[in-house]
Amino acid sequence: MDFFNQGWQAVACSEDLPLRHVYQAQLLGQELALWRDDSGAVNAWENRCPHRGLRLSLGVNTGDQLKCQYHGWKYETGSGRCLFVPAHRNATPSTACVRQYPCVEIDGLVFVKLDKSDEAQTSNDYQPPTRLPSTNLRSTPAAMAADVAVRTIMQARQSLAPVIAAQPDSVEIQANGLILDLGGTETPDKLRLFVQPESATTSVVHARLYTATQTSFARKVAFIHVMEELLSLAEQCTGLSQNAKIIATDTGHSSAQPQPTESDSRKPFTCTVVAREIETPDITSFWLKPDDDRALIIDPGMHASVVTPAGFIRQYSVVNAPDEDRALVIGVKNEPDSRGGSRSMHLDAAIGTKLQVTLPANQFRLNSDGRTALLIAGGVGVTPLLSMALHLQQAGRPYKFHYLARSTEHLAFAERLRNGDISYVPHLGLSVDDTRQTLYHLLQDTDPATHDIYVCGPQPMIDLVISLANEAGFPVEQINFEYFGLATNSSKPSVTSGVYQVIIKSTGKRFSVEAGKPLLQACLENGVNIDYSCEQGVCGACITKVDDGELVHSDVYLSSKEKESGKLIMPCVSGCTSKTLTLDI
Amino acid sequence: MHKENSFLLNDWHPIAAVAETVVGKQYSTRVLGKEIRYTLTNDHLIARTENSDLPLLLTKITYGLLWVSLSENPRDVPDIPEFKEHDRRVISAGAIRIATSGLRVVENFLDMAHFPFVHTDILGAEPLTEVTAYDVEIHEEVDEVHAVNCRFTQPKGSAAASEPVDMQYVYRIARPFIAILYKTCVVDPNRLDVLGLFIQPVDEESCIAHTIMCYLDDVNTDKQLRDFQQRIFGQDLMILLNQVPKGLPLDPKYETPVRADALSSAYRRWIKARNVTFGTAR
Repeated sequence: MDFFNQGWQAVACSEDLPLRHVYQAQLLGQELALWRDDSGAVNAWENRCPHRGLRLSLGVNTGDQLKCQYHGWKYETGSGRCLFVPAHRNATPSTACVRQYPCVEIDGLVFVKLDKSDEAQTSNDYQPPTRLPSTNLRSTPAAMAADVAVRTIMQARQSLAPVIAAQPDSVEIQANGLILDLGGTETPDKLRLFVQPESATTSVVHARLYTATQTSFARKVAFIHVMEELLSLAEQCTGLSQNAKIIATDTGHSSAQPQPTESDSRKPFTCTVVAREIETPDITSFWLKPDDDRALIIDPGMHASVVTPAGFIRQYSVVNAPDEDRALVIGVKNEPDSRGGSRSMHLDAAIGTKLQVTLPANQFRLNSDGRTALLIAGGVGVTPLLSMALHLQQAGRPYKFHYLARSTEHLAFAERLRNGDISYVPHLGLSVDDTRQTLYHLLQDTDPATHDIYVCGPQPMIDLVISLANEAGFPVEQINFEYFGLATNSSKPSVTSGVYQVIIKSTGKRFSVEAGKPLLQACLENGVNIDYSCEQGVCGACITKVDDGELVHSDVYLSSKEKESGKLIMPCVSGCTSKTLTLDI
Repeated sequence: MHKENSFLLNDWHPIAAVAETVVGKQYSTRVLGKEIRYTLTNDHLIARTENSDLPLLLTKITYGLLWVSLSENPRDVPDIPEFKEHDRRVISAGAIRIATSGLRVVENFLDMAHFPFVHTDILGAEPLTEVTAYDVEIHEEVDEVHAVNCRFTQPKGSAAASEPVDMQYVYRIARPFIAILYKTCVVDPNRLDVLGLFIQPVDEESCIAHTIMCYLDDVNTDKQLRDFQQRIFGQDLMILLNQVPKGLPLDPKYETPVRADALSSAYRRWIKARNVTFGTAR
């Protein structure tokens, strides 16, 4: 099968996708948001944010992500995964994923196919009609079905003679589906036309001219005139000029089909505590080595989501250097008023302890815009910034590092800072007023044109840095921050603390759910199929009837009455405290 | 179990603001896909469907709006006691026609997470984008869904605000097409301003939004208050016209919510349980 019989359709010219633009196209009634990331790769996405349905063509292309205009959600180039939900900065981002279509860019045109069934068929068998240099001519929209456009052009081929410097009666045309190749007996020039079927009643004709001579302005204009006249005449004859209804949703897939799922990197894996070290009187670091010996991909600023021995899910920044890919290093502060997560780590995570770990998408990332990173750390907030500093140091990129702590004794990771050759300015034991003064001068003396700010620490310090940075003229997008120790109940809640048995009423099947594992996941792993979607206790897809069990509800879907009844559970986030849980399914 | 869409049919629907209707003039409009002709006299609203053989429609004038019902026995309009408080000003922010389902418009009205992105520097500003946990309550006695303990830091939360305010909100979903917002009153911290969104469901994918303010404000003119509200609505319009599909999806797996969307999830669930399909994605 050749390239075009595999279902690839031209949807845009390469020049329609300039840097940081989002282009809207349509193929067979399916609206597409096309955008090029800063590495040059093109994404062809369903033109619909999977959160609340806004057209993504209204979004902002930030170079490696597409940001939706409605709620600022960010989606990753290549995967379509949601990386960031501004409404819950410190929570695991949504499992939402934009539907993507296979997409290739060849010979100045972008091709997409809606049918993914033979994705393995690559596009390397594309053959241009000749090896002559080529250029795009202007694309022409037409209010007619693609096959009508093909017929119209076939019949009027002679009028395109001047475009390929041929005599009208020597023009030859060959159709291969929706591709038309034109040439002439006494000319080496070729013209290839790609008819894009936008909808049942509209198409766009893309054109690529192959010629050794420089394409003159006159030839380009001649082409535009011929095409417009040809197609508008045919539009009048066929009377199909009313636009078909725009359908942006994926008509080929019913909504009952599950959304694309996140990749394996976000699946939980088991680690063993292989070392722990007291960094300061209240911070201990832990080395967590994956049991499957996998090599870790360290992205500075990233978190590890850890199920503590007592069953709480807690997120800790990793402090790894880029080459430390064998074990995660995390710093845990023993908060006196902690609800138990950090206490449990300090007390129970001994060497040899097994812990479930997930690596959520990184939401506190280093920009790659070439500006100098100004890192400002407060207390245990040093952890993500330390990893950033190690990366920048190893990459030979400039950075400035300021570290605020109570005293020398409270400077965590002193050895790591020393070994990594990290230069930093400590600010010790500052009063509230002194902190303000110090940060004020620091930010006033930093040029917003050449610096990005990264700040992590207690909330009051971050709020102060944000307001002082605004004052100093830093635009919002250059102020990157992450709260530490923010009590937010919007994050994925912890599940339950102890092991319990699940009994499926209809089949009598039994299995146990280990501490910290979501009930939904346990059910799926044991072959009990439950519908699910958001995995945050909001959408309601996984609602499950309960026969017996002491439930702990962590969702926001069930009403208080339903929660009190004890007869319904949202297994994606909720669990139970009794030894057994009988599900009425 | 409700019969399909009977929940909407046995109810009242707004068709115009009293202040914007000329007495004695004949108007026509649509409600739930039906053509309606109406005239406001000095003390009555007279309305009928296109078919002049049928009896006149039941009508009502309240909350600054003209209402009709397609049923002979509708339940009463929702009770909004603040409209009886004489020191409040009742001002219509106008009727805005929107080419999308009214359910999408109500859901947008119930949403705080979009403030920093759509109403930038007015109702929100980056980086203060966090939506803290709030509580959704089901009030069975009046069949309403409320969200309480909602708060959001707003650079300019109302026409009367001169500095950023930590706005407190209560949302009240009274009907599929009626939502009421109670928010911090800048003038009197002990009371709440009331903003009613009354949607006229024209067709499944088109509606008219009637917004009525019931405010305590002795600083701004009617025009200033109306301009503020219309500016906000104009910003939402860009979103509403670009949401696909136009109907509100009730399948929980079609659009993926997060915790900030707890109220929207409850709204969709409530609509589904009442067997309302008009204006939903199917």
